[in-house]
Amino acid sequence: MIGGVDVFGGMALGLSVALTPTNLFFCLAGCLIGTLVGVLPGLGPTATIAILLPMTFGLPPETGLITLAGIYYGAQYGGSTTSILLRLPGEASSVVTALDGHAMTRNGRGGAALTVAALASFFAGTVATFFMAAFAPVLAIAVLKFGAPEYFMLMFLGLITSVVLAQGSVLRAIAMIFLGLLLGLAGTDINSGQYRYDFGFMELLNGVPFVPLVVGLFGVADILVTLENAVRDEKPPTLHPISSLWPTRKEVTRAAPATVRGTLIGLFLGLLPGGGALLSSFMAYTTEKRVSKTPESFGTGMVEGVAAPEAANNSGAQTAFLPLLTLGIPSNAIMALMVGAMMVHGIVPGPRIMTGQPELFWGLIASMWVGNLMLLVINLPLVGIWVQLLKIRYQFLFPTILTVSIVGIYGVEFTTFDVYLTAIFGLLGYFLHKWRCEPAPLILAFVLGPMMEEYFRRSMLVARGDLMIFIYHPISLAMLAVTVLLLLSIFFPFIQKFRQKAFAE
Amino acid sequence: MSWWPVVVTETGKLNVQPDQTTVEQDASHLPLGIFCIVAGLAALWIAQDYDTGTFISMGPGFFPKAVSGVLILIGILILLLRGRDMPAGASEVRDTPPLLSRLRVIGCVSAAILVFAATLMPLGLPFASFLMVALAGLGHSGSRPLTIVATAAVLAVLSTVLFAGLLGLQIPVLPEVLR
Repeated sequence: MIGGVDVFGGMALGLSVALTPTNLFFCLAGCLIGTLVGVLPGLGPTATIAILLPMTFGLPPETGLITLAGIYYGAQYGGSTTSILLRLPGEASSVVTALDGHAMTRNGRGGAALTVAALASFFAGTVATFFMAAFAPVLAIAVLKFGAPEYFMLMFLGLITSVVLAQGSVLRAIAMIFLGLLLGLAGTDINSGQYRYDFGFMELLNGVPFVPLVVGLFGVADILVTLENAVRDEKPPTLHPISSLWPTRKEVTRAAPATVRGTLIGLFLGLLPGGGALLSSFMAYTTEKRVSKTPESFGTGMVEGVAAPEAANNSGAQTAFLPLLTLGIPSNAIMALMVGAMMVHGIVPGPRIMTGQPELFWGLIASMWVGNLMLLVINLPLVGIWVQLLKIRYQFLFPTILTVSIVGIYGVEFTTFDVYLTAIFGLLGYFLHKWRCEPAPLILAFVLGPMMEEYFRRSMLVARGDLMIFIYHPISLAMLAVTVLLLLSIFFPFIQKFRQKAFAE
Repeated sequence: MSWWPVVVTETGKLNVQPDQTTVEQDASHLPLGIFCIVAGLAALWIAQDYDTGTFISMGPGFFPKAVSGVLILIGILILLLRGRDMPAGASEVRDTPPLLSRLRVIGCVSAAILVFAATLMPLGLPFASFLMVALAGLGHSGSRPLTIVATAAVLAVLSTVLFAGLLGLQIPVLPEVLR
């Protein structure tokens, strides 16, 4: 019992929700779609969740979110399969797995690498589930002490972290933040009722609609960029034969401690605003190299280099849900999509979910564990089928993606206005890609912006315009300190080097 | 396929000759900087009618003006740095496909979406999806016309079955004249 919330009772409730036939089915569907997406290179989890978002709106809220969560961690699994077998990481977070995973395949140990990756992910997923179950109530109670300044600072911290972790130019990431904030300003101002940036469109009075924005920036822009590059590279990947799936005893004894280390790294990095799977897997790989007695043999097929990042990206992917479920604050672009999904269902993300909608809260957590188990069972025997999927030609894939997403967008609000908007945001996304800007900070700022404005205005009202309120409140001060440290770190050579190393691969 | 973009298609396929690709210095800072400044100025201009309020009691115009102001500053900074904000190693030159093939991709896919939006009400979901996929298919160099038409037909049927049938969304299926 923590603060009146019974963790075991909660988990029991969660399992009773997650194990209903409907939810089991949609959890499985989500995991399968996620794996599919993870396997196909070029179609990231953010784009897929964005595209499939409208289809989950007709489902009950728990089921919809369980499906989306399934896609999310299914993609982590699927990404590792193609990294290991083909050196084609489907997801950014499985890039490091490709280094040693594919080397193992070349050494004839590909099957073992797959098993190690799957078991490490499952272990990490299990630990992360229980960690979340135990930790969420504590966090949800702490957050009740949060006032407007604390909320504002926390969101500010989240934005700054997303800048620091963005790939490429920091300045361009900041530009994306402000573009996102600007887009978020459109609509009716809650305090005064003033219409802002509505351009005379009724449809914009509630703000720029979320789904067209994300589908445009991720889905349509992705298609444009891939089509443009598809002119040159269209050769089918060569596949090494898959060895026995069983790892040797020696591989197991080396992988086990690495899995534990990776899991722990993922647990904590996933919690950070702006963190999540990507950072976790890079950190875990670097750590393994540090603690190893033979760091020079990494890249030649070290089983630790598969186990640790896979464990880390899975536990990181899961704990990234914690800030969302307890604080109501998305820590990365995918979590921002989850906020969008919740809002459509009329759920306000935040500490009240746990007390107000315990079925949703615990059901989602329990379904993550169920989903991880499903992935373990479906992934290993089906490896052959997943790899075959790589042969799907893009000329059939992209029209399908386009149709599903565009018809789906119409289905959200039943207005063609949203479809036109998608075309515009698709073009915007394409050009932002050309200008080497990442859309992730933009989405985060778009979701956080209206909340930040509200909390900032409220803070100023309370403090009578005194900015010192952010310093007088200890929790806010602590977050401010972390923010400043992060900003400084951009200029420190160590972080610079880490960033370069992490993104150079 | 003996119509306009065929020249581009051939260039793409004959890509083995390196001199055929246009290699240019990365100048992405220029359009990005200008975009930020223009977007910021436009937002600022629209926001001039919104009440700024005071620091204690902010009006609806405070944030719009602040955000667009910063966006303009960032745009200027991006222009001044001239690409030096990119971390080392990431700024190697990317080769861009020829302009015509880029225009073809952008044009076909955007037009496909717009055509869908415009034809959905009068023609119904199957026709609108068919037109969208067919048009988008033209953006993919190397697809044969027959393949494009077949893909479009299959997806038109699938999207109707999935969205109007299984998901039961209120989407017009039949053309307006038949409803």
